[in-house]
Amino acid sequence: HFFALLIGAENKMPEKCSGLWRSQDMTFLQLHIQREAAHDSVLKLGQLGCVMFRDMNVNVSAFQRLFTNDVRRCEDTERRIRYFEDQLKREHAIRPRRAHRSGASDSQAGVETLDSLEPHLESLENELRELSSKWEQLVSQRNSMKEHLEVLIQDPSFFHGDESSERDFSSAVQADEDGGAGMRAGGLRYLTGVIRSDRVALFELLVFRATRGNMFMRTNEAREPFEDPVTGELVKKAVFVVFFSASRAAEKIRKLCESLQASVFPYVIGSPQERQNLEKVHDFLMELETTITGTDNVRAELLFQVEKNVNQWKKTVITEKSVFNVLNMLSFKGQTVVAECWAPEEDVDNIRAALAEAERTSGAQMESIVEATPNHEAPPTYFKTNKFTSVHQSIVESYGIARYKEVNPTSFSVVTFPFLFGVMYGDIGHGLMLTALAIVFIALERRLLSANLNEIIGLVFGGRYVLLLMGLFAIYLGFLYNDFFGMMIAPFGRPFWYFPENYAEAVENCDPGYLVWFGANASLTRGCKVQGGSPYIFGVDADWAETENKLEFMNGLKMKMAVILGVGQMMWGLVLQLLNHLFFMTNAKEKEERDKARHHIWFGWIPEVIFLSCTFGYMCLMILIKWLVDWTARMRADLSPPSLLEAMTNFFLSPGSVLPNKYLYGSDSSQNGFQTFLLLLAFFSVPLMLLPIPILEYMHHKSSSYGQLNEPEHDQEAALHARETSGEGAAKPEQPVVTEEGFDMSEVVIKQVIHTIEYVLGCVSNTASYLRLWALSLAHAELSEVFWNFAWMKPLTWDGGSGLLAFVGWGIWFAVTIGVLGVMESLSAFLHALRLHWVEFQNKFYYGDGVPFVPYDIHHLLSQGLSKGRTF
Amino acid sequence: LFIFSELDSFSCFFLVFFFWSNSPCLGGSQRAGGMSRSFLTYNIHEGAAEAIVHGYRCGILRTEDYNNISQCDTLEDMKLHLAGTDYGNFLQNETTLSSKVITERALEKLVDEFMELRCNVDQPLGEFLDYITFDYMIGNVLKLISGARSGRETMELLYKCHPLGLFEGIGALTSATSIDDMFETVLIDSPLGKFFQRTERKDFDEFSMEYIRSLLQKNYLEHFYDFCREIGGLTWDVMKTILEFEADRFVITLTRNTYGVKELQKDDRKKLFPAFGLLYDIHDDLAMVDDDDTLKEKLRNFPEYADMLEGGGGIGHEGGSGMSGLEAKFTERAVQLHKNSMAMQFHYGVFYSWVKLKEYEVSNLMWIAECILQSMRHRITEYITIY
Repeated sequence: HFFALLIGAENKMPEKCSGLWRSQDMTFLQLHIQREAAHDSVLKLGQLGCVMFRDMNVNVSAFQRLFTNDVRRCEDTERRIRYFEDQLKREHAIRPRRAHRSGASDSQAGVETLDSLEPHLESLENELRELSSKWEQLVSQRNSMKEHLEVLIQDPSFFHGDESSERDFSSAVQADEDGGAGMRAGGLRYLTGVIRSDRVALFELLVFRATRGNMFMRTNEAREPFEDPVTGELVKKAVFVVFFSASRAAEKIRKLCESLQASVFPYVIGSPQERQNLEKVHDFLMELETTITGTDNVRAELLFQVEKNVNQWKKTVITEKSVFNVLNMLSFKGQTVVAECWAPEEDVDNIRAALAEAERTSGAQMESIVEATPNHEAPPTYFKTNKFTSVHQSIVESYGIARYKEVNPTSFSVVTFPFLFGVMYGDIGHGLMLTALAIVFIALERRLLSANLNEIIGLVFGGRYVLLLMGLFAIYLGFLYNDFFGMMIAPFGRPFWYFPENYAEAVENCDPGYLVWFGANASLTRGCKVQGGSPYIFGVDADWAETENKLEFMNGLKMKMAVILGVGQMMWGLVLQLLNHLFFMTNAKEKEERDKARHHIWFGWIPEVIFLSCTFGYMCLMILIKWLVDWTARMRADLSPPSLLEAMTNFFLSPGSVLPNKYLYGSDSSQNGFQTFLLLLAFFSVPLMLLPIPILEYMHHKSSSYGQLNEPEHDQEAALHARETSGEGAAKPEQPVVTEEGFDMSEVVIKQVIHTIEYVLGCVSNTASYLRLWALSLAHAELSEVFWNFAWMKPLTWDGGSGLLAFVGWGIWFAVTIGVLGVMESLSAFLHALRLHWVEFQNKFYYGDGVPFVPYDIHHLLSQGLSKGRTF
Repeated sequence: LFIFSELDSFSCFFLVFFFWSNSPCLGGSQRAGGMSRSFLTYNIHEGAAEAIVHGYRCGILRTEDYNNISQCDTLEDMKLHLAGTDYGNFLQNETTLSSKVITERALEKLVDEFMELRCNVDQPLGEFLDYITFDYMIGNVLKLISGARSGRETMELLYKCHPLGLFEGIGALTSATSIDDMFETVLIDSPLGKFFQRTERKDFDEFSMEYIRSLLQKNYLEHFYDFCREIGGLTWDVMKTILEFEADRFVITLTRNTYGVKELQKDDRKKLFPAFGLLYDIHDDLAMVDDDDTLKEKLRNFPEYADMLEGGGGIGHEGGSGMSGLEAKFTERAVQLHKNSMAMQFHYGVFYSWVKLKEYEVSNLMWIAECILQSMRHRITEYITIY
């Protein structure tokens, strides 16, 4: 099939892939609905949640649209609901014990429409406002009474001061004539009142200045704070008494009191009448108290009613508002409404059913018409995801939305992403920790979904399924690396390799066929196969733990693994590119596009594959060969293993320089010949990448422009005709003629040059970039080993049986493991895995320039709207 | 390679630390007591606040927004349009709309943003921000003084005060009966105390309102000018230009407003001129001027001001937002200066310019809202163009 396509056979076999692999088939629908049924239809479609409406009134400004007034009414109702919620919040703050009385507040009242809701809420609001203002008035009255009471119950000594000054005061106390404004005490005037505690200092200062220092002030904190009627806050206040001499100052101080919102009360020091006043005020206060309780109860009852229904109202308003917003996007013509929308092909039947349902409920006579119409805009991209794949999809989409119908990288990154994470984070112990965390999250999923998590925990919780896979792969790679908190373990029995101390021991225990011994000074390879031992089943042999060259060995292993994985993933990316080209070729409607895709395969994809496989693909091949060769046998024959680094450098810089005793396969001459051949292939693939595409485009442009010159009238006519047939074609972008307009040869050439350079250099830099797999995994292993040895093992050896140091050391080790390895390292490994997918993998094939499918979905809007406003 | 690159970032830290600890010798202009910040350390202290303000700048309404708003038929439409701008849903809890409500809410937003900045900045930027508010305090105090003089209900006036210019004890001003009283009771240790410097021993109550206003304004400008010089650095370069323009504007306006005023001696007039600005050298001459032609004559060496007088000098000729032509020209120039200042970084002028531009914007909103309410559609476009 593939080759048939390549040589240009017209083989139409549409690839019907959906799900995660390619985005859903979308179709552009035109709905003709009777005007009366429009509201219900939109509502039903919103409940269905699979239709993305297109704004047909782009040129109409927001306030000139048809349903702006209704949207405004919804906003007004929303404002009312916000007011109710504010009131409820205050009510709960003041009287928390009532909160539990109305626990489940979602009453199942019949679904109301905006029309029935609006007058109801309006009257409720007015009632509540009236009650509240009455209540506020009463409370401020009560506050003033209480303040007066505070003044009256002050101990006489408050007004008299200490003993020495008492004589002066009590000698001549008499009431002033002007109604107690400034009263006289021993020739002094005074003023009593109540002021906010935080203003006492300022007040004293101002009075001091106003009277030029001839004053004496005393304050006393009130017994209990006062409730501010408007804000509901508790305010601390203090009783004050100011003594002064000048009569002129009285007016000034009075004004000061007024400006600082202090209340002044007449009080005659030592007068028996004040006792009666006290009783009077007390009685009045009691009366007020009962009135307030009454008002309070009425208000609470009203609020209780509100609370029962407020969520239902909110739902109604959010729904209605969204419906009107959608209606604003439709075009109204006489008795019919035309809507244009994108929808998944498989949902068209559901849409029909929903519209029929709406017709029934609204009693419309005319049937709604659903018809698929051609549209030249790029269709939106829509992947059906579930809770497991949605996180993976969002990781890919934060880089870019897939072009309509292109291969979705998520299909692979579901596995490769956690796998590459595991390569960097491979450790059984740490992997177990991650897995455990993910399992906890998944087990508590239902409870946590409804809970209000903080931002960071919410983020981790959102990615719980990725986390689970990351943990499992970390465990898997941990077994491969044989790392458990930085320590090697032997889960699969007896080791295969044996590292003897001296030659005699070696001869005694080793399999003679596999004995390699370089003498006492050679620190490198001194291993041999254990006599009669079988190969280690899985992962790295635990005996490497005690050897001197463990680090070199692991480095070599991981580095090579990183490169192989990297080249493999990039190759796979190229395969996906081919699949994209083939798909677009098969599905292209015009021959021109098919030709273009074919050119991209021949002169884009093929040289790219050749270049990558002849250079770094060959390097991976050499790595594999070197691993598979039995070096013990070959070293006996005086052939030393070649350094791969050297071999690769010579491959590029001095072809044909493989030495007779350093070849890897075949013989030195055959390897030389093969390498030169590969290098030439890679070299000639570059011009193949660079030149043909611009030349072909230029030729195509030339031939097509001649064609256009020949019959220009016909073309114009066709365009005109197309415009007429497409109904309101004026609103649609003109598609057909556009492609040929701005052909600029230099632009095409520059683009191709940049692409070629980017690819060729990218092969080098991307391969090098995959070395981060090795670097991070090395850093991780070293860190965990160091922490294990120095934070935990060292204190254990110093401990000497007391247990204290072991306790402390373990604590340090645990904290560091969680903090550095559990959190920081996993974060950095995550980011690097992300980068490898976004850059190195996806730049091989992914366009990522699609338009997301955002359906009009009422359920989604509701869950958003309700979670935002749930404050009480 | 990777590990080395990580090490690299560490060494960068050390380098930065090294520079930071040595910044006085590297950090460019360090005038007057080291209050200025070098480029290297500026962001440590003021970077966040400045970045926030630069972000706010993007929220300043643009010509497209004004075009949209001025097409509105009702205030509801205006609210709808403003909801799409940086103002967001600032009117969402209002039952009835009026130009006053819109202005108040818009101002409230500005004040909230300003106060948030004020609470989060270091010195000397904090003091700089305080200086910005002093201007509004002066306005408020003058309002209360004139209220007290004309015997209006002063508590009511208090609610009309600019919210940026409120300070502790401003309410107590209403209790005083005379300006001297006000000064001695409240103002003396309010931030404005230092602006009440007098050159002669005379009671404030003997001066005209206009005189007090000018005196306060002059003292304010001079103090602010000195303070900016103390800060130094780029702040001084930017603020110098702006404040010198403000001073010149003040001098010209004062001169024109006091043609032939008997109570103001020519000497006294000169004393009200701020002692700086481009026109400083001809202050003596300007103090003598008594009509527009002489003024133009005196200003001929200052083409920009002369042009302004030439273009819109005629008294009674109405310009934008109900301003006279000259005033509109001055405003236009001020907006230009503020925009220049907003285009730069690493200086405090950004904060000053932001507040001023926002203030113009609020007055624009009020103008447009009024025009809509009174159906004066033909004059709706006479707002101050900012961006």
